[in-house]
Amino acid sequence: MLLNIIKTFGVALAIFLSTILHISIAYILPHPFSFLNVIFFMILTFLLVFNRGFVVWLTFFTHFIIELYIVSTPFGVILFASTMSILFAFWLYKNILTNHAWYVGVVLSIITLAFYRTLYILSLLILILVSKELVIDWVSLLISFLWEILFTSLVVGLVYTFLLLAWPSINKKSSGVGSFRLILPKK
Amino acid sequence: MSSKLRTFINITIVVILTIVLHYVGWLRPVENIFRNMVNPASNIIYNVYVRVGDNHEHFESVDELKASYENLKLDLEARKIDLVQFELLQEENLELKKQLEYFLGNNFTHLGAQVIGKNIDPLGSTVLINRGSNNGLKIGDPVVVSQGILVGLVATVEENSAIVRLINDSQSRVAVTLLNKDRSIGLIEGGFGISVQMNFIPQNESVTIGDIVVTSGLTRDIPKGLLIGQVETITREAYQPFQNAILTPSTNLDKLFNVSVIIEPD
Repeated sequence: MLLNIIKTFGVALAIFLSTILHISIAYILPHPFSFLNVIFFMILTFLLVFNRGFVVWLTFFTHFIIELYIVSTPFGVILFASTMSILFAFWLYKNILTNHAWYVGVVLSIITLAFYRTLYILSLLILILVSKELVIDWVSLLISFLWEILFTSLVVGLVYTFLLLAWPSINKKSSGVGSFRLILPKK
Repeated sequence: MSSKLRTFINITIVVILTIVLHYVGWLRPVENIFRNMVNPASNIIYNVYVRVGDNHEHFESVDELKASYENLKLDLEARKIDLVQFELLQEENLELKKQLEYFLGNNFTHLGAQVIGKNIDPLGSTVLINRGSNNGLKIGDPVVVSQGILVGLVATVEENSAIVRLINDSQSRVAVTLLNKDRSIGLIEGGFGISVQMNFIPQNESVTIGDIVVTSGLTRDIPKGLLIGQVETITREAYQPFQNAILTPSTNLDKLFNVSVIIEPD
């Protein structure tokens, strides 16, 4: 009982802290470092270390808060894109990128963020088709996404590598340490 | 049905349900709880950003650092002299403020607000302020700084906070007048970085660099004469019926701290 309360409190604190940290980075760090996506960094690191499906709900709640502060796109665009991309990342990590080698952090981050921003752009295109109100500077938007992918993947890769060195038991579950093992999903 | 597909469907349903409930308004109490938790933290961080920001200075050599130090010493001496002048001006300022308050009070109802956050998505240019519907704010209210410089319009209103869409946001549109001899009217639009663009200026009207742009009063709820900025460059195509001008806003939209919201125009 007490453990459950502590766990719930810990999760709520994690959601709140990652949101605050994400906002802080966007405010304080100079361009282009401000594009570091702290929420994705924390969630992907959590996924890489603990390999738990709970990250999907963590993503859902943090992006629910983030959505409250965004007026450029209608409510739901970021919530949908982020939750689906982390769901995809979880599936990818469970079934395809089963290796726990250091570079999996970078690969998983790049794929997840690319998927997230692809869903986001698709949503924008739908909105443009429907409302025609949205004016978008596609070049600067794509550049900002590239910065986001670059910095986030780099930080996830570095932190995951450090954790692997400091805490080797992380990759115990993996049967192919150091190699890139591809397992196709079962039919 | 496989468990993976079931999980995917369940999560999709939850996301869609959340979006629907948000638009219906049933999630408002929960959203307010989150806002009340995040806004104070955002305020603290934004204050740090405004005061510290990215003002780091880098030196290439020790000589450069020494030269900078010498300059600072000279600057300090000058500041000491300025301080005496400042105290005299402060008294004068207090008197002027009283006059200004009287003047503003007779024109439109306004409300002071503090900027407690800024946009976190790459698509928009917005700020978060600490006043909301409880203070009488509504969507579309103009937000000004200093002596009537328009910085944006209220985009969304919550009970105790509001998001202001700045004039350089890509979805921002305000009817304006150029203070040239023709008093050309047009529309300013954001989405051009720190600048804004004035469109629909008739081709036959004369526009020069440095011309002042103010609100025309043609946009609902925005009073006439609020300062926007100055013309920086002009784009004129011979075959087009209209010309465009890129404007530099009269204030730094990236470092807003105290703003005023005009609740009821004259």
